[in-house]
Amino acid sequence: MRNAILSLRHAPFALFCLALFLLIVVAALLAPWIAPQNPYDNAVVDFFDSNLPPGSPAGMGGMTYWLGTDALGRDLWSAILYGLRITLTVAATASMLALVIGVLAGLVSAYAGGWVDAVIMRLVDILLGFPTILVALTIMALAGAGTGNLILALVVAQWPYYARTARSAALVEIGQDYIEAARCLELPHWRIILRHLLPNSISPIMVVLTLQLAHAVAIEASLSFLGLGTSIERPSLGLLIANGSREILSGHTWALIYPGLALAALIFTVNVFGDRIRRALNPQEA
Amino acid sequence: MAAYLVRRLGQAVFVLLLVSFLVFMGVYAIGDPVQMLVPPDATAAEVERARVALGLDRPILVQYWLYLRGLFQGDLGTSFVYNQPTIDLVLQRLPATVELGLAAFVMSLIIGLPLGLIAGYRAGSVADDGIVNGSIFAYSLPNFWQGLLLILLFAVQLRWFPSGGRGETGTFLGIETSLVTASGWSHIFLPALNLALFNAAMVIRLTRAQVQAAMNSEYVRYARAKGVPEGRILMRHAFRNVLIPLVTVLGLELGNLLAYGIITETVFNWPGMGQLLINSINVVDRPVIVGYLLIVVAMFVVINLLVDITYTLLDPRIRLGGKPA
Amino acid sequence: MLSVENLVTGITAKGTPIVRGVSFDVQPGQILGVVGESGSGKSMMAYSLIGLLPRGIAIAGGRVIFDGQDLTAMPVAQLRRLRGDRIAMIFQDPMVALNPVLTIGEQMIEAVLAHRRVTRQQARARCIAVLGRVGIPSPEERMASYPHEFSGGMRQRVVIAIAFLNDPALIIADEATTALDVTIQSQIIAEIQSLAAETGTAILWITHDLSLLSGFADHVMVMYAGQVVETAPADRIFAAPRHPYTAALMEAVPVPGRTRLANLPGVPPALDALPAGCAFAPRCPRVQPLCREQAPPVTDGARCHFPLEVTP
Repeated sequence: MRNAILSLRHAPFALFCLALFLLIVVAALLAPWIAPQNPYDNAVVDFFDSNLPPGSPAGMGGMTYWLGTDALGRDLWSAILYGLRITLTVAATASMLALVIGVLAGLVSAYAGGWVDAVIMRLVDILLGFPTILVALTIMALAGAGTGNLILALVVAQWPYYARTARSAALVEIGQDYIEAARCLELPHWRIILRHLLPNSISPIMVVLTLQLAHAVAIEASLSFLGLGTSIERPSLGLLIANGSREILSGHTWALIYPGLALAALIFTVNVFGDRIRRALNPQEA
Repeated sequence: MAAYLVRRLGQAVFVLLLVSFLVFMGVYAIGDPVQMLVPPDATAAEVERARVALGLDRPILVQYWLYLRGLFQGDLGTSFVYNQPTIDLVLQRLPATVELGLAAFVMSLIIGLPLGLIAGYRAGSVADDGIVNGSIFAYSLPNFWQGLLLILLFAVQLRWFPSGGRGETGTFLGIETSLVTASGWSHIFLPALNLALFNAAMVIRLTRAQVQAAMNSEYVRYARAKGVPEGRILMRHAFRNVLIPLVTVLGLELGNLLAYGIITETVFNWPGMGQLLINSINVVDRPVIVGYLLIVVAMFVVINLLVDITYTLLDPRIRLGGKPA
Repeated sequence: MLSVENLVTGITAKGTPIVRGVSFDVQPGQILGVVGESGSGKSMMAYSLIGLLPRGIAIAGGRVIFDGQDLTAMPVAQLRRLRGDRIAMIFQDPMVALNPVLTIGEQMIEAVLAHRRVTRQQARARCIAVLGRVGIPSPEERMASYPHEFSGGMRQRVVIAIAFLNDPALIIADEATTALDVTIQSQIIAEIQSLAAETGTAILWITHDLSLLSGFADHVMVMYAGQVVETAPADRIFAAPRHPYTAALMEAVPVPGRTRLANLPGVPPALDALPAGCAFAPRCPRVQPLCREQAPPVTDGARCHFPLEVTP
């Protein structure tokens, strides 16, 4: 893993993408302090300023809408910063939960073997047989819209990827003598799993994490676009784009283009970076 | 081979049963199914009558059995909104979805295979770098946003194609399709491109990796030593070996086309099954949602089964009972 | 017929030489054995001849004259027409050389059609005839088989049949029987010998096993660290080797599962860190101070300061 990160030094483009990604994350975190407007505060948002093109001055003065406004008169730049925050929160929370659940399931599966392994892996195989978006969509269709359900859907759709990776990494270690020794010493099972199996599966899991994080962002946006995601009052990037798309025929393109650019930049930078780590860890695949 | 087929079919049936069970439990665990299956303004007596009529007063496993029996008779319930059997609703929409998926499938191969061949044949070159980074870029563009941009550019700005909907349909071999009319073609082009670009990235990656491995292989060197022309080496020796793993990925791609087709259909207002699903979700038309999910899962199981069989037929090492090297 | 003059081949990027000035001739119908340990440059020398070097390795000097034409200066397309037609090649491992997903028939017929303007039927008939000639039973049916359906020995016979398909003037065989067990090895060598005698084809036989060449090769060339260290008619070299390395190879009893030479400690030098003087000096049992300082001259076919005496 260390070497993989060090190898980024020779990949200026991947490094640039990493920097850009961190910049986006910081901007999202600092949204309440750097955004010119709180887009959720109806006292601040001026409905008469709706659908203004980029660079327009605010009707009541005091600020300029550098990226224009949306149909509700919200400053688009502020809405994007706040939307990024929601998108990233949902994607990161879901990825972390999926990682913890998936890795534990994978390690236990590998360590226990037998029918436990068979049951977990059969479930993983079935879930992996369907596209992630379809699994997530099914959950949303059954459970209904909302941020909590969105996170649940992403976790259900993504944990199998972590489980499969953690299991195969752990299986390599289980053949080793020191695990046998630990078993003979009758160390507690959880201790063997966490102290010996977990550390060895970290590198491949990090690769899965980067690629799945990008995927989670994309799925969150897609579901929100379909109206199955976050709430309308606090739109994530996907919903901002959906709202922007209603203006498409009237030629108000900014509300569609700018949130999309932010979303695409977020996904692209994570993908390039993740792809680079993957290739550094598996040179034969490059 | 026969034993393999039987085993594989058994697995497919098992997955179908399992999923139907999970969806059944999912729907029935969330709330009172009677409340979902009767109109919202029903009286208490009507609800009770419906409960008995639907068999919902019986033990859960009996209910599942009845539900399964209904499934085998093609009974997936009735939509509240359209007041039509779910199965009819979904099947009416099937041709539009299949035709869009097919057009996107062909388009993704037309785009992906040549680019993948070039990138793999000239691995490490500038052309290869450009193609690989371009495919990551295409893969990273959220599907729905990319579709909206296509509409913005080609429909709103350039006015080359309509922005949505399905064009006129004609009948071909008894199937209603828009692929036989000019208006149909102009309507399907943008949505098909939208679906295809995402999958083309996957086709490029796989073709590239396989061609590159094949071109470095000993059998290509041997073919060169035999004096076989480069064109034949690429198309016959390298490409033939690409074909086998490609079938697996194409199966995956078919699945993706079904899944991402839901988004594309919504973006382009394409009257397919996916649009039906999203509309039904928005009006909480549960029987249609459940029916749609079961039909799509069944389609997936069949696709996966067909992919495995094709895979077996293409690789002589497996076909003839040997082990793949 | 084939005349190689001072051939130099190396890794392009670093300029490391792999083949360091090799010269030899092959006469029509002659069998020339090339012997060396792995890493001696014998395979790269062979691939240089027909322009099939891996990416990153290229010819840096010298000429390869075949039928009066310099192959190193020949355009790729023309060289392609020569390969498999006038010069054929047999690879070490037919399991990886034959394409696993194409039938034997297809892989044979394409070799004919690449060079002859004949119909597919005529090409097929030719393939069946040659398959029969190399001892494949019921060749007509076997044309539809895939490589993995043959035994190792049968696969190598197929590859040999492909080499003889177009009546080449020269066949280059790189460790052609190494992957086979000893009894099949000698059968196949005997068959190649009779086929070559019948068709007048010359053979460049590359191997790490010197004993294989006795009674088979007309002439033997021993390579070490990219150079020819001894070259002589086969009967002479087997009777009385002059280079200490040849002598060591000859005394080496092949031990199954061991690639090192039993009585010769060490390994060939790394090509990017060649010793000054004689490349063999670090391992030579007869080394003198002079050997470590000066590159040895070639006298009587041996590249050695102090060659072994030929006892009359």
